Amino acid sequence: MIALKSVTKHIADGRRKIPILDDVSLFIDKGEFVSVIGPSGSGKSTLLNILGLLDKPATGNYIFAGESVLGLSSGRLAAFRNQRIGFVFQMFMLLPRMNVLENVELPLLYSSLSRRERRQRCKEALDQVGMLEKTRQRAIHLSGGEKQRVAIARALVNNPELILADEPTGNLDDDAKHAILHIFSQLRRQGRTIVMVTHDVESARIADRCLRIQSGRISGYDFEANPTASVASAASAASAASAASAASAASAMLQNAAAPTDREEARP
Amino acid sequence: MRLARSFSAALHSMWDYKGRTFLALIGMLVSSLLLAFLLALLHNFQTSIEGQVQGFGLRQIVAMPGRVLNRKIGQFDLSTLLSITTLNSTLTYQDAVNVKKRVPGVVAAVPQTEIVASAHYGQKSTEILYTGTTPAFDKVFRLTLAEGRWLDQTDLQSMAQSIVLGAQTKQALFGKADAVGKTVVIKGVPFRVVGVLAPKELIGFNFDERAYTEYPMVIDTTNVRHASMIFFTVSNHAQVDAVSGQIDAVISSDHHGTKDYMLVKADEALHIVNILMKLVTAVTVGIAGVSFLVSGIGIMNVMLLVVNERTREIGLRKAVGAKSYQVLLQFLAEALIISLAGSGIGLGASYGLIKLLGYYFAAISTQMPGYVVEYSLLFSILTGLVFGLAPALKAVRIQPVDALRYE
Ligand SMILES: Nc1ncnc2c1ncn2[C@@H]1O[C@H](COP(=O)(O)OP(=O)(O)O)[C@@H](O)[C@H]1O
Ligand SMILES: [Mg+2]
Repeated sequence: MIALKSVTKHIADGRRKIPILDDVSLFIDKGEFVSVIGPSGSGKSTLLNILGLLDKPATGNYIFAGESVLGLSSGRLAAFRNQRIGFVFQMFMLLPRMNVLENVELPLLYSSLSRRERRQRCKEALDQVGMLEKTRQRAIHLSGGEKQRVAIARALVNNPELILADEPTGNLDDDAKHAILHIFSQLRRQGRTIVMVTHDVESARIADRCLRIQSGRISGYDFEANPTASVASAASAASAASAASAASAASAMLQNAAAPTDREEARP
Repeated sequence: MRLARSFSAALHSMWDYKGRTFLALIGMLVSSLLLAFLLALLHNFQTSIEGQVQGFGLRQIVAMPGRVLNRKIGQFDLSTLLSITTLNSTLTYQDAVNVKKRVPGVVAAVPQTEIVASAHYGQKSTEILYTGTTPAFDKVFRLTLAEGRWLDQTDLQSMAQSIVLGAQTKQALFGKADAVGKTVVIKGVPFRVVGVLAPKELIGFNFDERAYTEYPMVIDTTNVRHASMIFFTVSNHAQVDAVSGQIDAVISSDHHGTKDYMLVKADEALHIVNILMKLVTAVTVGIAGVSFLVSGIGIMNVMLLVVNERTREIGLRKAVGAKSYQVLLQFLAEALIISLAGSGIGLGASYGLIKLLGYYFAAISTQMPGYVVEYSLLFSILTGLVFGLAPALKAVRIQPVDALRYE
């Protein structure tokens, strides 16, 4: 689905070139959930921005669903982001004065959907993250966990082929973090392709596999197993709609995560 | 559809920055108010004058004392203006009689002379313009009578000491009571009131504060010897130029070739009014243009500030798929809405002002002509687009990665 080949990126500091990404290659299958873990400043966001077509590498190649995308015009790139990619930005990035519904609707304003279709899509996306009750609330009045759920709904609303998330659990307390992780494992079970960047080991472990990034280089795989498989049924039994049940389901899941199962088995 | 979304996004964000939007809007409001009000005022002034000149009749030629008018316009001062009086005039009753007799195209030749005097009725008295003229005068000015009749040929021939009062004069001496048949004393002479005029407004003329009697009567009872003006009515509008030449020839020979008078034709007066109005309009548009420039810069500054503060929002919109032209449209729409809203309110206010003015000055019409509205809207749309362009382009240049970087 996604292939990044020998991608480099650097910034100019005076005459010196400081590398941010150094010869990064990456293959992600359709339906795969990959986490990228690394310390702050290691180049995680830069990598994700390139994958999300927000940034261009200096050299290298990027194939998205069989199409080489680096040469596309800015208009085509905008359309690509609008229709095929869902981005959960670092620090929520909601428009504080707009309400939940308007925030989620934002990408659809640049699509050709009618008002009714847009509303319908927003409802579905908000339902997935358990925020259907607060559609009229202004973003500024939401808790951190709620903001992140709205941000995820916004990333889902265009029904994207690829979901990118930049430290989605970074600024949340434990309960909220577990609720968000639960949502991601649900998305994974729906067969969505997800790349999640984090510097938190616990978060990274819910993915199918985890890449470690250090000083702009992929330094290896952290693990290659899917711990969510064993708790999939437990989580669905909890049928988490409310934040509280979602959180408890997520923590149950994480307790079980100590015993990793085979990745092949986890695939439905 | 997409355009509607740009406008709706613009409205939304304007609401978030109400205070600043309002300030930018005020500038545009004032500019539009200035332009529309002044243009409408000029328009109404011009149509009022034109209407009155035409009401007075395009078949009219007026002979005026000429010493003043032979000077160049730049030499006018208060003393030369004050010298336009009967005392400086060389026009005579005989000039009028001769023209009527010798120029066949002239159907009426009416002299007028006047002097300030007191009119007395019982204990009451008032300052009036004691005016002498001939019976055709009421036709020239299409006067209407409130009571009684106008002066007639018998009055003139028998020096009947008949008098017709202007509306103001009658009010001052008689109040609401009837005046016809009563006796009014002017310059020690008793006059019998035969009629009272209805109030009449004509820019540059005064009918209401006068008392009209036979022309020779005024000459006999005062030291005035000359006519202040002579009004000629030409039988046919097409002949005005030719007839004017013939009148000139007659008066000139009577005055032994001295050009101490001037003939003014109604459409000539209109022409002068037209030229003056064009000049004043050009100056007005120039001043309003500067005002629009200033308010445009105001809009630009406010919007540059807003774009700066909304860098993140713009970056986010682009990140989720807004194309450059959509961002451009949103901000152009915002500038356009501000300028159109300001201009709309300004137009409304100037309409109100014009109506208010008409309420106090009945002689001036109170139209808001379509071209004034079009000019104002055009100016504000242009201002909005031109000065909205820089902020809009600035918004377009924002890169999502830069805007979304978490610091
Ligand atoms: N536009 C930029 N200007 C200056 N430094 C940058 C810029 N973009 C990235 N960097 C630097 O590159 C490195 C990697 O950044 P980033 O990808 O945001 O790291 P991470 O998301 O892993 O914390 C950091 O040291 C950061 O300071
Ligand atoms: Mg980062």
